[in-house]
Amino acid sequence: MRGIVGDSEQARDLVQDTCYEACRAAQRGTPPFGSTSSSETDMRRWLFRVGYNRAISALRRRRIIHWLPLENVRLLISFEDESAEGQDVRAALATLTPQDAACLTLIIIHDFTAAEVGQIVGASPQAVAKRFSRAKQRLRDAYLAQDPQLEGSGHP
Amino acid sequence: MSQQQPTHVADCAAVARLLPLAGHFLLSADESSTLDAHVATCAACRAELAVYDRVEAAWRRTFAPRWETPPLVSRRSMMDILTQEPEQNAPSTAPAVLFTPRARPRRALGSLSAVAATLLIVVLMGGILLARGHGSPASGGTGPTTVIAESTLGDVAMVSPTEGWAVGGSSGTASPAKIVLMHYLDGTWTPVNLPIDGYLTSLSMSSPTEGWAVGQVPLTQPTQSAPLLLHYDGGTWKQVAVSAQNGQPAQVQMLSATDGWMVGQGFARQAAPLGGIWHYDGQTWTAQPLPASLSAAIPLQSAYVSRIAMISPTEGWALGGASSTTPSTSFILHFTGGSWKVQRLLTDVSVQSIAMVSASDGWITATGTDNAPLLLRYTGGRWVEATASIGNGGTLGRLLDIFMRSATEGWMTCQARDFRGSPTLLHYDGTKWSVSSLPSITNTSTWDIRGITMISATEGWAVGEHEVKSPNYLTLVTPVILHYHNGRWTGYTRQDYLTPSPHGPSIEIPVG
Repeated sequence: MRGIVGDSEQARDLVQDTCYEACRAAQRGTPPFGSTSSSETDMRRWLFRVGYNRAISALRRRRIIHWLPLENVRLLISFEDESAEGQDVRAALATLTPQDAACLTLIIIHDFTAAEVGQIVGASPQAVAKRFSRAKQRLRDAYLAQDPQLEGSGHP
Repeated sequence: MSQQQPTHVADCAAVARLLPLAGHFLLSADESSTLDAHVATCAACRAELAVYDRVEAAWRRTFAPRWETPPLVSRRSMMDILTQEPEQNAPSTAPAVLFTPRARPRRALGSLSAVAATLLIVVLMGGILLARGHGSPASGGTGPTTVIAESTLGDVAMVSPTEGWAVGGSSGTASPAKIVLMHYLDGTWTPVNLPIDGYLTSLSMSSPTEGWAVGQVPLTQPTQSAPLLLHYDGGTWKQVAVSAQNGQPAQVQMLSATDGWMVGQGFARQAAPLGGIWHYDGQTWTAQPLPASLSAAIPLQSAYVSRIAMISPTEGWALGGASSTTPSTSFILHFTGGSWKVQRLLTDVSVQSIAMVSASDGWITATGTDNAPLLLRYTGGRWVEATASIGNGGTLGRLLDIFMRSATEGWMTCQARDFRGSPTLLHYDGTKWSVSSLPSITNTSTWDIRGITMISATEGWAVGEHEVKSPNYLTLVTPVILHYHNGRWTGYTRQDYLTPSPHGPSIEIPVG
């Protein structure tokens, strides 16, 4: 969640909201929680979809408050981690759209497939792969801009 | 620089697009083989792949879960939730009607009261045309409506009791966003078919036949947007170009067809910053310089102007701030004698909206430290805090829009505290602000009122949005339109929110 909204405190709130939704869904017996055929994977995917939508909603609210487009809300993100690497990565995050950041986080950290990410963010697997590729290139460019010493390519 | 042969360099170019996708099952078997074979023999691409791996590892280290336990997920909280009685109305069987108005308004005009539950599915606005670009006419009245299921409204303006406009944009995660422009005529809100990317944030009508709507079009380059200006002239909406290539208009205010103002941020041409305040003289929009003295407090490059309230062609006020200062700094500008001057700087305050009743009386909504509501009033020639006039300020969320009809009558919108639940609408009676009763919305986690305008003391409109949950827990955002008549607010929204398609059915706004 922090990989999408940037702010740790807000990410914790969003995770809490998502857990609450899960509890309510379990109480009601709503799929995937109420179905005997549902797998742990189904539940995991459900949790991430709810979490993703809550994160996008939260960012949209930031946009509304500050009348900025969704792409610009990152300008308002406050960062807590003071480590040099953390700052570089977060500076790189600031160049990504929330949707791109979500694709990176879901695939890199949570090992979802493109098809699964597609179900979470509402896109085709092809679109997810395209978004992931673009986001990773942007991440690389922004990260290198922060830390040129990392440049290791022999290509011009 | 690679020392490979030309054919090998061509291979490098071919596999370059595969490099970011490596290692996550995003490549086909053939693509994986091609990539593996190439990097085995190409040191440059191997190094490039290593860079991607290191960047990815840094991302993982920074954002991987820390496995902290959210406060809610304590054993007791979980048990409290799980031992509650099951809900009777699970989302999958939720009623399609979202609003439960407390009372339907009785309209003074018989012709309007006869129009109830009017719907638009695909309504064609014959008299409203759009010209994209520089004024060449283009069809905007044929074809399917561009208003989509997920959208939000941010501003409303009425030109008479029977006609008005509202603007906003699509709110789904699908991109690009599309503008939303709605027309109220004789009892029915109708979406206008304008197939334009972006969204509109503000509009101002100088007459029933003339007005402006402003917004922005996000550009491919992150953090940049192009200004979007629509001019309504004699029954036709036309897109008008301005000299700025980049910019995010926040508000427009027209005093007449030949005198108007626009404020925003990020206006630039060929990377050269332009001012955050623009003036329209009937022919062109021209950037106005911000006061030089402002640079002593904030870097002008990061300054934005978010609100404007002109009292006359020669006097007005504007609010703004700087996005790069810590703590946040806001400023109040005063337009007199043909130029803008800094009237006051506010530290650790975020200004939201301004409404001037006269040259000697006005209000500003803001947020102070700890996100506490802050209300300022212009009286006796200076801005003073007037938060005490809000009775229950301690329970309110962020103050947003404010609209004053006179020194003794006004309205103010307030966001739900912690962004959850219902907003608050406050009414000013000349001595204090008090909470006005709003209709309730069922099956929503939160909703907002973003813009408000009053036609008279007994009639007005407000627009906003509310979140609804579909059975699969996707959060959708749909518009809300509120109507004030004879002391009561009544709400309208679309009724078929259960279709989570970003290109689903049009908005249905019955008006009683």
